[in-house]
Amino acid sequence: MTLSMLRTLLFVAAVANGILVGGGIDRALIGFPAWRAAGPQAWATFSRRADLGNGRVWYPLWAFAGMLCSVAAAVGVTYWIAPPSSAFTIAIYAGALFTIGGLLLTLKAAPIMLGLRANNNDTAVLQHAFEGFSYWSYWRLASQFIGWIATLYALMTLPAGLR
Amino acid sequence: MPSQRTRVLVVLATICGGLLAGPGLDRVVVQNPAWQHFAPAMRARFTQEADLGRGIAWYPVQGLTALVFSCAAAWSISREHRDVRVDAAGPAYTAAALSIIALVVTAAAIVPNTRAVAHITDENAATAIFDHLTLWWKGKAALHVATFVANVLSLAKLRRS
Repeated sequence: MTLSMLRTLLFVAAVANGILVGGGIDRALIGFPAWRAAGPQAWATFSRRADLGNGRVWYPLWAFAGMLCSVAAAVGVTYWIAPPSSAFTIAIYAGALFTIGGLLLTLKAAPIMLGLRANNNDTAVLQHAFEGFSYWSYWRLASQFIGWIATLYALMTLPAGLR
Repeated sequence: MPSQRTRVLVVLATICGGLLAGPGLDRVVVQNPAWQHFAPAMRARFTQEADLGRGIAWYPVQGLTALVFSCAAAWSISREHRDVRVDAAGPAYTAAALSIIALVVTAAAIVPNTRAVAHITDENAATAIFDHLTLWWKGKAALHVATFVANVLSLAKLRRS
């Protein structure tokens, strides 16, 4: 793997993870509190058109793009480039690890969202779904955020003379 | 080699850039198309809880912070650019210029229409307001994404300077 390829992978990972984290923070700070006030019925009705509409393709697109580029960069550093013993190496591995962590936490959040397809409009069930989805979304966001910051750090400190 | 001040400012501008680009794209690609399936009254209620609720404090702080860091990063690079070649200069200047244009679009088109949601009286007026918002959000999101990409590019080029 060339230095140029590594830089490109980190660049794409930084953009993709940033888009994902930015949307997640907005949802956590503004979206969830607003839906909590609007009620679980309104949240479920909207989510069936949003998260289960265009979001069904949109969110995985960025999540997988960020994760694949982060992991490819980490693998590249491990096998093709003599890794410099610096904070750069830790950052590039942390970027891969935490973006994978974000996807693993999605395995907890996504089934709750997909469960809304069942069109069960019982308020108690939807309230439980909302609480579960927002809970796992916060943890997922924390993992994605750490992964993104690590990727930015790796991009900024990318050594000039890797072989 | 850029100074520590420049590095910190570029990193902060990049983080703020991502926090604006992500929600912008989310609105344009996921949320606004979803809202087309609902009555404007429901969207108005949500807007009052979100954009005019917590968002009324968060969004201006977020937007202005991103603008300040982008401009400060460009300023810091321009000072160092006099003495040494700084590869990150081009993207940093672009990010600062785009963030200023985004602020103008927000102040001129997004804020007045969003505030008008609080005073909606009939469905036709609500539909017109949301049509405007949907249209202008496309421009605003495009500007934020371009700013963010320029931010990341300037970050990537700092090391090589």
